[in-house]
Amino acid sequence: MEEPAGEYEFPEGLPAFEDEKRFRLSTPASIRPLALLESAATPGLRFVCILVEWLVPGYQLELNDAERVLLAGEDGVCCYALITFPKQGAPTANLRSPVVLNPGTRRGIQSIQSESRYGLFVPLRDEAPAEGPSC
Amino acid sequence: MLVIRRREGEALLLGGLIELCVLEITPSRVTLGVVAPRQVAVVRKEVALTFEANRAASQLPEQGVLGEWAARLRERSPET
Repeated sequence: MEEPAGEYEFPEGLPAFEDEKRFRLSTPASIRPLALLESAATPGLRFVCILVEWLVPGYQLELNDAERVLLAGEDGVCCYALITFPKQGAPTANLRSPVVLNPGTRRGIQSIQSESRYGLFVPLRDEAPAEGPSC
Repeated sequence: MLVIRRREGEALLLGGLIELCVLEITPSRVTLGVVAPRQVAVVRKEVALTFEANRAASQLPEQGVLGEWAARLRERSPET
C-alpha cells in the first residue's frame, strides 16, 4: 500500500477553501495518531485530522461517480476526519465530510456524505478502535 | 417548523421571491427545483454545514493541546 503522507491535488479544493488546490499530509510522530493537512500554497493554513478508522472501525464511505472520477480511482483510498478544537470542551471530528485521499493517484477530495449516519462535530473520545487502522 | 403537504408538480413561494417546486417524488428521494434571485445562494444544508465546520477546523489549538490529545489517543491505541 502507498504511504499516505505527501502532497495531494484537490481539484475542487475544500468547501470554504475552494482556491486551495494542493495539500500536504504529514504524520509527525509527536502527534500520532493525529496528522496534519497543510495547504501547499497558503502558509499557516492547516488542519488537524485523524483516520476515521481510528474513531469508527468499519466506517462506511460512499462515493458518487463524480467523486470517483476526481480521485482517479477508489482503490486503497484513505479517509481522514478533520478535527475542530473549540475554545472550550473536547475536540470534535467531522465524520460527515471526510477528506478522502488516494495515495496511488495523489488526488484528494472532501466527500460530503448526504445520507450519513455520521456527525459533523463528533466529540473526540480517547477510546481505541477495535482494530488498528488499515491505512 | 411549518409543515406543508405538496404533490409532484406543485410549488411553494418563500418570501414572494423564491419558488420551490416539487419536480419528482420517488420512494427514497424528492427532487426539488428552486427559482431564486441571483444573489440568493442555494446550497445543500450539509454543504453549508461543511463550510462552517472547515472554517472552524482551520483554527488550530496551541501545540500543547495538540500534543496532549495525541497522547491521550495513543494511550488507548492498539498500535502502541
